Amino acid sequence: MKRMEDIIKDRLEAYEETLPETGLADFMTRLDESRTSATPNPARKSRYSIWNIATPAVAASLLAVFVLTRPQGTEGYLANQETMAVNESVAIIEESEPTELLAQADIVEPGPDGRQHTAATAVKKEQAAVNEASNSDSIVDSIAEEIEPEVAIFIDSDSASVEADNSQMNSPISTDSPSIFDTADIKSAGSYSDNQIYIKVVTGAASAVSTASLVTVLSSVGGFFARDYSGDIGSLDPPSDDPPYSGTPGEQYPDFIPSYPDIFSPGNPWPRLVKDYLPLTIGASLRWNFADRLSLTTGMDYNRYKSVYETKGWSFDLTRASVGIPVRVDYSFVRSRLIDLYLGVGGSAEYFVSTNVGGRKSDEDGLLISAQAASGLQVNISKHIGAYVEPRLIWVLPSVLYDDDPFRRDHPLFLKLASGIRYSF
Amino acid sequence: MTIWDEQSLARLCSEHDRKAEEELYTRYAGRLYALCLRYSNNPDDAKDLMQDALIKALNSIETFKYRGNGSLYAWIKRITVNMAINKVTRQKLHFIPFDAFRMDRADDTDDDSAGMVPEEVLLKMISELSPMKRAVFNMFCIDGYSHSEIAQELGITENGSASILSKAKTQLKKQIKDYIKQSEKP
Repeated sequence: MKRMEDIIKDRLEAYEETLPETGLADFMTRLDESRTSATPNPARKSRYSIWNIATPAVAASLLAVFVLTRPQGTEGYLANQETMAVNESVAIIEESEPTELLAQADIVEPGPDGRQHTAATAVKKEQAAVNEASNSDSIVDSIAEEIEPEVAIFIDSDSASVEADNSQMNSPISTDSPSIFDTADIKSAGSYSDNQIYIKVVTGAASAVSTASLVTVLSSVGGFFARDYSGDIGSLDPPSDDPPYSGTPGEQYPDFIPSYPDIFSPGNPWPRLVKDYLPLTIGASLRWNFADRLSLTTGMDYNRYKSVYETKGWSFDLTRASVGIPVRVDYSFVRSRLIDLYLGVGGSAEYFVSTNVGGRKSDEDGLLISAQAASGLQVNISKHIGAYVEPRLIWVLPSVLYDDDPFRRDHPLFLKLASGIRYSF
Repeated sequence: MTIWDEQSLARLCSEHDRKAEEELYTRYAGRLYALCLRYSNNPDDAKDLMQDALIKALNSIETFKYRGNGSLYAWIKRITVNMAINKVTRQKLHFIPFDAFRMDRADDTDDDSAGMVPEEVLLKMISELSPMKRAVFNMFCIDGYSHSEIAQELGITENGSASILSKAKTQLKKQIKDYIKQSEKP
């Protein structure tokens, strides 16, 4: 007695189904159309299909870098330090008493950049107040004349308020901004042809849209990292006569050069606002599919951490870069020829290769060990090569760098967005 | 009417000989249509798939290498099956259930009741399987693919392929039993 499937095979393998009488005529018409069509041979087109995925993937990566290197959270004014300083100084001038303005002028030496203009303007305002020669509107006018950086100043004559048009530099991040891709077009592109090329285009575009959406959402999540230590930014009273900085003429900030890592110490009495950016990782990854749906993933990552610090009207960046080796076990819960969705747990060892504080390099380096959980989307470009985007949840283990590293000290548990190219076998 | 051997037919088709192209259609379309019906769930899709596959074969027939009698059909069949598989894989993402690791051992007991079911009814039963079950059943049981090849083509694991096949066979057995019960009723 035969098995069911063998019987079915015997009966259907050579079975012929009757076709409609018009079948031949229809077929010949379609054959002629296919030959007169301008559509290139699909076999030739498929040679370039990799670019149809790679191009939107690269575009999405650039978009990710662009979005994520902008400030996170609800306050966009930190995007440009110069603009921020101008705005803040103007606000200080408007709200302060003449004696305080004199104190401000004493602190900040006049010079060629925007802040020094502002300080000089403060002295002018003080003189104007003492001489009673002008009202507040004219003071603001004089401020507007003095401040001449790359921002346009608008003055509202009713309220005498000053507003810097920094929208181009500081446009806040919006999570509901319209997508650059029209999803309706994407759907239609996938439906009009059976050629594999179009499917790959659609997949590539869809992955780019997904990546862009993911990045937008994560950049919003990145606002979680923004925090206000003191809430009294702008106070004009120095906390002590011996501020924790030293001056070196000719530097970007002539009278403010933070002493790393002392400036980040919780004991530092100066009021601070700290804004941390969502860390980015770019990597080359290697994946060994050692069992059904299970794989061992390792590789090499380049990590970039950035924070912006403000204190006493000044702001500066802290950027750190590290090279890391992650090791993780991944479980693929959705796997197709084009897409792989997975979850993974593992760890990573990072070695810091550069630290930059306020435009100056620091020698701080060292090893950092962390545990991580990740979820990821991999778009398979070929049988072995894929591009991945994966948000990672990182937990930093205590290490020698812990105290000197404000980001990890304050966020032992944080999100990181990683992307890169992966070879799977 | 001229009867060409496969080699001559392929050569003439590569020269866009109209009669030869019509002969190729007449010779293979019925079998290919039945094959496409196994992979599709409606006759219109099957017809489109069959025509697309034949057009693709005719437009690239210069790459065909004759390897003996039957090799032309085998070559066109392979093109058709590949296109059918592509259609399955691009229809949607296949969310593989977490229990896919579990090997469902459907009863592999002998059962010749399938022999009592007409071919067109068998085709209909297969077409009523889900796209993934249909593809795995056709590839493994009829078109001679291994689980490893199926896993690679469909982007699933070998265990997943075996599990899906088992479920497909169970469903088909039930359908065949129901059909026989129904047909035995007076």
